[in-house]
Amino acid sequence: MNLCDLKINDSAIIKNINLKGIKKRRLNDLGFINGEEVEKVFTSIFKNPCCYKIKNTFIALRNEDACSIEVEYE
Amino acid sequence: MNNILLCGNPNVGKSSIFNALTGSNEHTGNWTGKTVELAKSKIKGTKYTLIDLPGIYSLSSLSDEEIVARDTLLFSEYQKIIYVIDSSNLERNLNLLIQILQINPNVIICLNMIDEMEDKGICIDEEMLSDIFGVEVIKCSTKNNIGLDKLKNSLESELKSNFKFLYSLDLENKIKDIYELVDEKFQNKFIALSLLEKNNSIVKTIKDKFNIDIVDKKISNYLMNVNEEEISNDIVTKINSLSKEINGRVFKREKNKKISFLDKLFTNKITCILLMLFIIFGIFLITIVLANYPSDLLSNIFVKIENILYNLCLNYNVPKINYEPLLFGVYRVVTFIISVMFPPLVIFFFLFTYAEETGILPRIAFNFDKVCNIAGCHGKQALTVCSGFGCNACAIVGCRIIDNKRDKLLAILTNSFIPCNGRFPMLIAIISMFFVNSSNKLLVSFYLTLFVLFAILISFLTSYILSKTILKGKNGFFVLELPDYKKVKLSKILKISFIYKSLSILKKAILVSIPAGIVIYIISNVFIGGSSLYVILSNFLNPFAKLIGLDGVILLSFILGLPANEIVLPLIIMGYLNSNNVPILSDYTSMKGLLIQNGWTITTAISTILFSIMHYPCATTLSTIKSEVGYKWMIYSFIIPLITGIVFLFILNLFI
Ligand SMILES: Nc1nc2c(ncn2[C@@H]2O[C@H](COP(=O)(O)OP(=O)(O)OP(=O)(O)O)[C@@H](O)[C@H]2O)c(=O)[nH]1
Ligand SMILES: [Mg+2]
Repeated sequence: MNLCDLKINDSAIIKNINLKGIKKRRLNDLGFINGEEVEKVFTSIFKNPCCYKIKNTFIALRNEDACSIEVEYE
Repeated sequence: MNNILLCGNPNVGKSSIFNALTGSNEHTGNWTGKTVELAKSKIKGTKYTLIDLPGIYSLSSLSDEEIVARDTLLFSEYQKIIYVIDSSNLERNLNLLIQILQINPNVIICLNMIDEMEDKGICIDEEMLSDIFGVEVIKCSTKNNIGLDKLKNSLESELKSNFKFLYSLDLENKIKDIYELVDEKFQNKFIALSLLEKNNSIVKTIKDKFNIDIVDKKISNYLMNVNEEEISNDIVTKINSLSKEINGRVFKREKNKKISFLDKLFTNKITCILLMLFIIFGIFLITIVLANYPSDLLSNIFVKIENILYNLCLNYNVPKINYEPLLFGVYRVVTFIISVMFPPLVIFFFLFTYAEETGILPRIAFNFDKVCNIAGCHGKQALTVCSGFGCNACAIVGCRIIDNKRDKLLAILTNSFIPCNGRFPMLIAIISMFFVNSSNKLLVSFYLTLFVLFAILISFLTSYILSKTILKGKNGFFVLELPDYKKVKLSKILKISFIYKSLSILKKAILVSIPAGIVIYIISNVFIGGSSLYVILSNFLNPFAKLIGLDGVILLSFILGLPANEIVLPLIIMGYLNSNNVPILSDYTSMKGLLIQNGWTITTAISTILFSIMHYPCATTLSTIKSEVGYKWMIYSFIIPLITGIVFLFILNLFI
């Protein structure tokens, strides 16, 4: 399952980030790291991007990018 | 050597601390990436100079701000680092701290925003934190003025962090290998790790700074067998687990973060759009209503002063040639700017700063990223558009928050469509004269909102066209933190918006308008073959101007108004009067009479407003664009809105 498939208010654990280079590093810096818990909190008015809670901060990501992040329910 | 660096994640309050310690006026705001360049100033009552770095999440993601911060940390001379932490976000803030400690152990930790901790149910054991890192930890709140003196005193402390940790055995060995291969002055854990991660930007910095190619034959051979993805993973995992562990020991949270009521409104399509329209409309309405009183008062005072000065000149037999240019040229332009432009400027900036400090701006970028994408540009362009309402030149500097070069150019080239503060008073005046009865402030604000929405639309349409022509390419990566909403302290906002923003803009406007006033006086008083230079120029422009719904005088005023949009309207009025000087413009009725006498119709009014939205950027903005992205793009930024305006008005005037 990927992060973009998560329903609102659901949380899951990050398994793998299928991105390379700068994008991956950026996500890592914001707390998107294997093993971290992430929750989808709300979507924007046009449903893309969506906002996720990670390390207790709200981070917005586009769905295209969220689809490259594998997650798994606890 | 007495430099102190202020470092930390974005939006943790670095610039607020900078302002508090140095008494200067860096812009703050509740969104990530407010500061995009280095600010320097002396700390009051000490020998130290404080340097405000842009906020960054790490030292290796390679955006422009991060490179600036990294290079300053690595290669500049400084005494200490003040590492600012947002207390409610300790865990993520620790990541960067650990990276920075690998570069320099001279750190003071500043736990900022402690005023919010109670509300959020947070508790931090600062003694334990201090023990873990072996540095001073100071609790601070710039909002309530807590801890700032203590922070100042701690600058003398000699404490150096003794925090040590090891990566995996394999990675530590690789670091040692690199140490063997590089010059002594680069034997630094951070540089070694960057090389192993094949981070080219650090290689480039070293080449630029020291003229040394650090990746010589030996190193590049060594790096051939290194898998940089694995190394990155190793580093990230290690630092993350360290900060997690430390966070677990010192940080307690009782309440979990909830979605706030405002975010519920902002994420529903209908309430969001209503709320935004309401905010734009409300800001204009309040500005127009409130600005009226001080405007009237000021212009009455200035007229009285002018009469006194005039009489003085007559009494003392000052020759006409001496006092006329000063009194009727310079004095009237300057007082016009003060009385008509300044009150709305102050009120607008106050409301604008308020909106900025609460944290609404990133929500706008979040909600409109999709729309921006359709227009071919980056979601963060919504942020720079918002800044454009304040000042286009500031917005251009702000475009640095967009990493991708192409996206940044799109934002820069289309920003001048957004009417800045210097243009609003003219828009308000024309709307009040030609569209409605000026006492109906609601309708004035309504029309103004319509024109502003039009400006935004044109700005994005142009982005769309550019993204399909000269700036083809793919949209950059979008990640954006949505910070918590902040309760704003009114006195602070008042101070920032009035003293720092409004007064400095006023100063600039006056400084340009003095020479402009003189130039205007001269060209209206140099006669060639019976008519003044002014008349000759405006007659020359007239046939062309008529094609786009203007006239020679209006067009000439826009040309002479290049230094500052604020002076366009006084120039127009002056052009119509034969008295060769700027008239007293205290009320709209007399102004309207004059304009109608000179052939203004509703079409002229619409065309003038539209041309004010779509012409070249002011001189300050142009020079900012030049220093940000170079000559070539400055020329584009001049031509694009100008051609758009001319074509648009030409077509419009064919039909009406
Ligand atoms: N409640 C509270 N808010 C604060 C405090 N210090 C700063 N803020 C607010 O936090 C927000 C961010 O402050 P800035 O000073 O712009 O932060 P910065 O670290 O310079 O941000 P960047 O320039 O984006 O890196 C602003 O809205 C400030 O008003 C504090 O002590 N308490
Ligand atoms: Mg700042």
